Amino acid sequence: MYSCSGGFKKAPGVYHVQIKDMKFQPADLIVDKGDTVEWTNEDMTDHDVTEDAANGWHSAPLATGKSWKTAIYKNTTYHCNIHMVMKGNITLE
Amino acid sequence: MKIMKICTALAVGTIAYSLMLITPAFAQKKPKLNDAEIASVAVTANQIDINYAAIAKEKSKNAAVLEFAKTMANDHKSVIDKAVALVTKLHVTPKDNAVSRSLNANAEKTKKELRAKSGKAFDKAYIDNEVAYHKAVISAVEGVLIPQAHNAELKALLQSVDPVLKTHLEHAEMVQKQFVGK
Repeated sequence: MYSCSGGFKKAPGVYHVQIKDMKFQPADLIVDKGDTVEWTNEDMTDHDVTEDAANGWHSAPLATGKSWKTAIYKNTTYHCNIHMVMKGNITLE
Repeated sequence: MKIMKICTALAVGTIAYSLMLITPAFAQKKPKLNDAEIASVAVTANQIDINYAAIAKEKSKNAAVLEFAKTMANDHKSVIDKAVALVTKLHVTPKDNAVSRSLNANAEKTKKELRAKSGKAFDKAYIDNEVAYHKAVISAVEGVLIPQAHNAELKALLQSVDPVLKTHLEHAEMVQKQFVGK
């Protein structure tokens, strides 16, 4: 994408996190501000993704094969609200 | 010996004051199970935890315990559904056996003991049992069911259940901390 101010602007990227074997894989992700992270549940049990911060983003329960995504604008941590011990981190580059 | 460790783990797989557990089935010489029997044990073990969760939903008023019980009921039902789908595909009929009968017999005793409690005493007893039960089932899955499963898909299913059980154990231990010293 070429911006009016000159120079090429990188398009926001999409990162994929597998929810597999009761873990977010990868659990630690580094992204650019504005990038999208998409989680896909590959387990036999339902999971969700819930930002740890109060009033943060969260998905509905995800059945096997279902996905959910959100754009990331700050460093954040999250968990599965169904299996509270499952945790992940997203850090801005 | 590995089997004695499994027997020991299974021997403590219940609430502290219960005398009878899963021990009898696994404490004899190592059980030899065929795939139909393994499927029966797997379904039985999952159903038992669903039944414990039902008692918790009925008796507990603790939010963390209720959330945990809800997760147990849903997750173990998912495992049973997967197991049933697989045995249907494989034309295998789960076969009742000494191990599954012993699991059920001891679960009945545990359920009776849980039903006799109320309030915080119930919550503590329920979660203590969940910790012990999941440790015992993990030991049995890893030490007996997975190694003895012949069918590759059954073995793979049991291997995929192992992390579910370990996450449940970790979750139960997290909830258990609320009741330490109480």
